[in-house]
Amino acid sequence: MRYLLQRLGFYILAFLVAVTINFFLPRMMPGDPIQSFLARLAQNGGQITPETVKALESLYGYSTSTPLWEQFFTYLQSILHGDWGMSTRFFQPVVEVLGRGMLWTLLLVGSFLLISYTLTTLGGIWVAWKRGSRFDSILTVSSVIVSSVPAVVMALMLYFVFASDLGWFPTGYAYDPALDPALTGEFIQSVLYHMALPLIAMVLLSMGNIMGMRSNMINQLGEDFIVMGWAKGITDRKVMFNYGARNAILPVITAFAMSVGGIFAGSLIIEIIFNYPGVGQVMFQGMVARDYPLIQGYLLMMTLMVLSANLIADLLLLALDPRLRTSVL
Amino acid sequence: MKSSKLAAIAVSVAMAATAANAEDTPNLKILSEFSTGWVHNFNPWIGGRQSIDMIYEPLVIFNQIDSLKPHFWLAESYSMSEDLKILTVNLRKGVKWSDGEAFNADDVVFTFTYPSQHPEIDTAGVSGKVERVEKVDEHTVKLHLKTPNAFAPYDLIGVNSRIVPEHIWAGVDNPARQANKQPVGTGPFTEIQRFTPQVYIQCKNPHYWNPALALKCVEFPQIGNNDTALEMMAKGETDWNGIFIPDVDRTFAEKNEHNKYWFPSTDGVRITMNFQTKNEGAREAFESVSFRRAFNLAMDRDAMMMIGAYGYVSGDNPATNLPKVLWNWRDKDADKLWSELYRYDIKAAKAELAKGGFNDLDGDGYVETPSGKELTFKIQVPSGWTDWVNNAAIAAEGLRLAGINANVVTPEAAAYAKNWENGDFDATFGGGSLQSSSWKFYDYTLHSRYAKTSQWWSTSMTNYVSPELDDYIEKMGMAATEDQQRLLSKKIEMHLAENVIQVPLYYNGVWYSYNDSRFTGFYNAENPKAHPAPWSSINRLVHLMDIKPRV
Amino acid sequence: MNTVLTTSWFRLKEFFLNNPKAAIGIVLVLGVCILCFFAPLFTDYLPNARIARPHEAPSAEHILGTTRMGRDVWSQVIYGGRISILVGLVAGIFVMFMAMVVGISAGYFGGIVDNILSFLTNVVMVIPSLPLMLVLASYLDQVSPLVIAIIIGATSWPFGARVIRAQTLSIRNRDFIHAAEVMGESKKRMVFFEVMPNMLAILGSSFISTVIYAIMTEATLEFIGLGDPLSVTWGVMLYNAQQTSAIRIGAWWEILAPSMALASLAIGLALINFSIDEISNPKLRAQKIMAKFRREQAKENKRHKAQAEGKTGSEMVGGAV
Repeated sequence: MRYLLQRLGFYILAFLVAVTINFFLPRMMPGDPIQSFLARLAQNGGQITPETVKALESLYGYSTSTPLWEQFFTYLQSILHGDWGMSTRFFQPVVEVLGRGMLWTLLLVGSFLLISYTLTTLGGIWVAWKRGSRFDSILTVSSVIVSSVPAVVMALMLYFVFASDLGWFPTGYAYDPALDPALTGEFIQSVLYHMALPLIAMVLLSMGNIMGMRSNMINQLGEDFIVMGWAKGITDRKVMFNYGARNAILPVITAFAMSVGGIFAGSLIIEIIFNYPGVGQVMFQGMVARDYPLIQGYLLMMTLMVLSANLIADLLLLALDPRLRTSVL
Repeated sequence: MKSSKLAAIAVSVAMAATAANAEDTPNLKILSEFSTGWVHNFNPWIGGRQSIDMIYEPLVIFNQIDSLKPHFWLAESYSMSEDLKILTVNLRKGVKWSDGEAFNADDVVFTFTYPSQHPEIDTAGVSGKVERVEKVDEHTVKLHLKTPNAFAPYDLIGVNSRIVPEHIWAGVDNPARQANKQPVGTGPFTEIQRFTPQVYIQCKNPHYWNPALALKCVEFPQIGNNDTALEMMAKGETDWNGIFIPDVDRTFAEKNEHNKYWFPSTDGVRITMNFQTKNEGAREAFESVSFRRAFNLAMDRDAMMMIGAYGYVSGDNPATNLPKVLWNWRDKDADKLWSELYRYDIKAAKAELAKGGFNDLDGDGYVETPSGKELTFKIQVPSGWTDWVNNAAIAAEGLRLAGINANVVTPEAAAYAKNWENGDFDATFGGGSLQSSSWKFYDYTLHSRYAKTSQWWSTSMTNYVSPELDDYIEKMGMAATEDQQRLLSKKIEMHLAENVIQVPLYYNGVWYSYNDSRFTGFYNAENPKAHPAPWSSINRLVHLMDIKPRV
Repeated sequence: MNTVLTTSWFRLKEFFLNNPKAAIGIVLVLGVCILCFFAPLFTDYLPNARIARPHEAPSAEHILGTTRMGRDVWSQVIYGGRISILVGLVAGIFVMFMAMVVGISAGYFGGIVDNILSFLTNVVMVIPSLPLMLVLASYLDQVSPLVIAIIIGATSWPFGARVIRAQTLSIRNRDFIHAAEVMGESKKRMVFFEVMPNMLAILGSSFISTVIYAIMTEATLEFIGLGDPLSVTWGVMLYNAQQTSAIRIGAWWEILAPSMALASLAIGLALINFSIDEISNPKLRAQKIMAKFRREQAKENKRHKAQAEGKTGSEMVGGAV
């Protein structure tokens, strides 16, 4: 248990670091939500009058009188209370804006994780078992090639060929706008249909990870206890799963925790290109409009996600790896 | 018995028929605002959807294509007093709010006084212009202005004067935070039939006053970016669009025979030199008229219009860069002077430079200032505004050909604007500004009180301070008759043509396109009745009255 | 002299035959680098010169067509490659430097040094890099490729540091290190001459992975619009293509060219990376060993067969006479 508490303490500290970065960054660099708002207005050919500016300044009320430390603590307090500020792009609380998008992103990323890890683990195990064969070398080379194509390009190709040109898949939205969200078969079907192409893109791009699992498995297969298993006369399949895979999966879980940040990064690109209304799309709009409260909220939210993933991974490792349990006295 | 049965059948058939008709009229699908998901907010002042202009109407709509001609809306007429301090407005009779209440002078008085108590919603700046509001009778209101100004009506009772119902908003303490989900207005589409993050539909106001309205509902599909919008537009799925389309013939018009477009000119794009720049060499150069003339002669405007703007736009900007809607204020003599400079002639540019004493002393191919200082400066343009970035690059190319060492920098938009506040830039590639009247345009872009203020497209683009110009502008605001106003505007135009203060390039376009397979009556080059884009406010209410479903 | 050259040439040839992946990888990477750094030899046009009509299809004059602004795509690709590759290298070196300093110190010195450095590593690792990069890039006024390289470098070193630390730890506990300690070798000498040489494989592999990551991330950031739109890099080419809706109007060459460049470089580097893995870990060379074994088996069989047939042939001939 001490192990767990240690990890928890570390995570809290890391979160505080993220909050601190978020606090000091805008105060160190130029940034003005009012100008960003006016920039958007100007770009759309709107009339900008001196009166508009005054009204906005009144609305956003910047104060420069309180000392920095005090400001920091009020900021920290508001973060912990769930008040992450007001988005200047959407005129809504940042938590609401991010929450709306997070729902869809979690759906996409969750399904992706499920499919991709199943595929890569099983694929990696099988391929490692069959190492030396023709199939192995073909898979190795093709996965290297597929994972080297820039994600952006792969997504663009898929979008333009399958969604735009052929029309086999929808070109945006999370579900058909004519439907109302409800737990009906029709709605669920629509959601799945709209999620399909982004999901396929993400899975294709992650195929390179098969190689990681394969290397792990191969390393394991040379270990003594595997030979012992054979000597004992246990069936091939049992050796593969109970002895080989169980050990090889440990670094995979650790790798998963470390890669969560990267997965959300990947989903951001996918969402932008496929016009999927997840948190990545929201972020992109916020970035273009330089909506600093939103961008900072995104950093905090992502940090929270990564920390949670790490925590879950720690718990899983604790459950799967008896060595960790006994080493903690 | 029989007759009543017949009557019943007749009624049900009639109802079925009307029901069928109601079903048949499709929703008018409009693309004008980007969003990642609609938020249900119809606040009339700040934070609401742009379509609140179809709920809360103005007193007068000034035509933004045709010399600001008035379309009387909630007002029937207006007049200014002799001393230019009292604006009398006569209201339309028989107008009702969508909840059945009568519209009258109380609502107008309320609309003009409420923002003074709540400065955060005063986006129209009413509190700075209006001293007090006087209700004369149920349908007449007098606005007493703080400063006399002949052009006040354009500013005060135009599209920014969204009239709100007093009986709803009186007593509301925190107006900026109200989501106003079920709005009450006088406008054509006040009933919110459906609202989801991906689409929302506004339907007809049952008590609407204007009989010309033939539409039932307007629909706003959510679009996140240009690509998604283009996807829908090309397939002809939307009816009325205000989105920029690259290569419009290939990507839009050729895809569907009913896809059409028209890009009338709006505000003028220009490069401005900062007369108060800290860059010494540049400052000396900017102060030389020959240099400014050479600058204008080095601009390949045709290339800019063809490449950066896809050939959609036109030029012929006057020296003051008046937007096209205000061209009736152009001056013949000023234009004649100006036409010598508004062209691309590198040889002439070089000649001007030589005349001004700019010579290449160190042989690097670029001239130094007459006093021998090094001359190099940067033109700033917002990163991400691709067509402008490309055209700024073309401008820099032209300057370098003429021997002037100019470069382009692309700060992001907020930083670009921030630079104006401190006069921290050499030159800016920017817009020309759209204002409610010619006087306001001159005042905003030329009067010295806007120098170094970071107001978009104002005098802070040039920081050019001239007491002579200030005097002309102030007098023009006080001139009661149009003839007197024109005497002064002519002086302003001549001053700019002679002194060549800025570098007007071409006009921005109004990115208006439509699909007329389901509706007719759309404005186009043959029928240029008013500003056609479905952009909020401006003239879209006028356009809406002319759009009819195809039968 | 002659024999030295021939033996090294021979060794090189054998190396390439035995490691086809490395061979292809090296050829790809070298090819791209030569094209980019010797660009003036391969094209007449400057990348930023407007010399043709916009969006022209590939032709004899412009083998990869032109962009919206009328610039030659081929020139843009090879000149732009310089910056993209340099960014990858700068970021890679930055990351490797940080990772090595932190990783080796933590692994070698242990104790409190290890605790502090590990904590630092973990904190930076846990803050997700893309949001951090977005935050940094959106706050900065103007983001040149160099700035992007620094941002990528500053947010990506923890992964390498962790791996290097683990490797250092495992080497540290080996016998020869203890022997050197007993012999009284100075700590500095030990780090540079005992520990590091044994880590070359992993250092090399980490470096190459980082370079691939840096190049791709730079392209992605620029594609979103965070870069400098006036610079010429592969990422900015993609950005401009997207802004001018190249695919939609059928100007596929504008997207294809930088993508092919990126992909070729990435594939080449990945193949090299993979070979390093294989060369250092024989367990992974299974199929090559098997292939070589089969090849030699086949040669043996052929020889035996030829011998057998030869005997009968000569017997027959002999017999005939």
